[in-house]
Amino acid sequence: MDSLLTVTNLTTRLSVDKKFYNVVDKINFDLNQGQTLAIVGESGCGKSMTAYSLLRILPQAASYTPESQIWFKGQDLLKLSEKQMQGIRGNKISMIFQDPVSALNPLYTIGYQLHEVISTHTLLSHEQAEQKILKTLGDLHLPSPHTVMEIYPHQLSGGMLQRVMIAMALILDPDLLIADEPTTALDVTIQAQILNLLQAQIKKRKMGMIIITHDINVVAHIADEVLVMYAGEKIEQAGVEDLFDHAAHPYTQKLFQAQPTHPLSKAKLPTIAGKVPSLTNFPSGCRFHPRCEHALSICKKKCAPYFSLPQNQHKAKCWLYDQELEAKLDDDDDFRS
Amino acid sequence: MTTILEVKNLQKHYIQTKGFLKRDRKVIKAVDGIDFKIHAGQIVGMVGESGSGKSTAAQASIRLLEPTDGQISFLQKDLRALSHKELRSIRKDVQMVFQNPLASLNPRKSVLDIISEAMLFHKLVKPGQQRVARTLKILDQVGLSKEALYLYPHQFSGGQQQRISIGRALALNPKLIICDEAVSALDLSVQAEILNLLYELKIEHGLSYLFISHDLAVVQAFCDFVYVLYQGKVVESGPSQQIFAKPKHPYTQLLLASTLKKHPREKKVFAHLPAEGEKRDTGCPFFGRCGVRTEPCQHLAPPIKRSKSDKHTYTCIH
Repeated sequence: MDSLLTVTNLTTRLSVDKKFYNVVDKINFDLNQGQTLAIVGESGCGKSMTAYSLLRILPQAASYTPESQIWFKGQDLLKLSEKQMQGIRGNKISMIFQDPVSALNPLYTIGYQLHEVISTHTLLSHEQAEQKILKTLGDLHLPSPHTVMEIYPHQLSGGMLQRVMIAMALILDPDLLIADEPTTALDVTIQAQILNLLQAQIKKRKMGMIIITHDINVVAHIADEVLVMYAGEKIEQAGVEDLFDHAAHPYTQKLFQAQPTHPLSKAKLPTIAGKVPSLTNFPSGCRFHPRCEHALSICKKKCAPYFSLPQNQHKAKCWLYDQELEAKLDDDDDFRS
Repeated sequence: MTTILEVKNLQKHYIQTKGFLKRDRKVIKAVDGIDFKIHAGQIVGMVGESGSGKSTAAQASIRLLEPTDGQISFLQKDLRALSHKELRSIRKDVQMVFQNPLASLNPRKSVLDIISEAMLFHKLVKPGQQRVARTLKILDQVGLSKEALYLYPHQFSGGQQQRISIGRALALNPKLIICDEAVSALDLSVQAEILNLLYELKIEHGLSYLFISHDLAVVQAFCDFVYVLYQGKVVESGPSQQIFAKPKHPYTQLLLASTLKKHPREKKVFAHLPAEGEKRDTGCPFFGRCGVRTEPCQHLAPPIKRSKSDKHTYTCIH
């Protein structure tokens, strides 16, 4: 399989009061064609900022560090001019946002907004564009595409609108689709349908997809590879089945346990003590150590590297997975808990 | 068990007009004849898709929205017979917690003001020292530190803001709290904290909850009794355990079948039914989306069926 996207040392910093804070801190990953990567984490962990960084649609106060590289089909996106980048956005890499109602313009018909995407990036005639639109809407199982094109966003339900958004993102056959919480605003009955549609299109068009979500069940449903983020850092990466079978990082484990799986009348739900550290005040060493039950003294001082787990390609940024941990526990004061 | 709230045949209709002279009138039945009961100390769940009438039913049942028809008995009083003034004094017995805490908290008021405003209004505390002391006690109950007192809503995280909302609801010692998607906007770990808190408060204060949610996993874990709503009607109701173990109505079955599986290896099979059904005047409201429909469903109103224990009911011909 061909590598579509290679992100190395992606660091996005936000300047607050003339100081720089890393919102996205040294993120590395690879994405192949036809593959779906899920980025999971709780609010404020930097998952959406990672997505915005890939498309270079960051807020004014944010900038990249010189080490950051985003290799997309053989070119570094960070070296491109803004003009060149415009040719990539919506054309080669497209994005779906959480709330379709606010992402579409209420004053224009859906047909107009779909035509706009095509006329911006291609030289197709109106008729050719129309054919393309109707075909894409049909692929997404929208009933009566002709009618859909003539109406305004408020006349469609949330599920239908999200299909329109997906159509808009797929219409120019991009190589990469970034979906930021695409089903969070939808009903459960529609959620699975939309995810299945997305997955089918990704496989059919041999694209890559990055899905940003806080919902572990969405990850289980659609992802091939999972990247778990905490406080701007990647703390764990694994194949989806590996992650669900052997969640390694204490934070990931806690996240799985917090799901409501038993009646509260029997026992309380497990929670994670403390709260997510703020950007301006990350703890020293491992950023999760103040909330971690397994914290050793080294965790407070030194940030853990990525340790490989026995399973294929499973990595965790946690000292507990150091192969020489037992030996070090005996010799080195730093490793006492 | 004493009954806190009992609602019979609750209806809330809206009239939609079209055209220049508004001659084209259409009645939208947002809530179309709902019966439900909440006992003291019970957690009652209401589930359904958006537009099923969950929130409207909850608000109409305490006259936050004026119902079109129906009987409401709240703490043995006929709620619909009360004047607005009488209603105001009853409001302290029922409080609400909304989905988006930041939107439901006044950004210009400090936590002290937010929590104590209603207490002052209902003359439960005097201004000054007593007000501060009582507010501090509430902050402690909802797990916030005393430093929170003079801070403003935007200075808190989502979970803490929801704690403030709960504190505000708790301030009047209510009998019933309506939680309208109260944990839906929260992260998984924070959601667990808030659910634990709500459960502790229920035990401690003998509260009852009407818990509206679209998240079936949360309802299953949290609620004792569940009502399933579809197009303004209750299609199934029963003890939580029974509903989730043996759903009877095809709509409840559809809802449960649509929830995403918890592990990537579990089978991903979904019923491919039309996502939205048309609103129907005759027959079963679920006709358009039902997988087991037959000819009579189109014309006959579905009968109410009861389980042997009489607690689990559903409306379906089959």
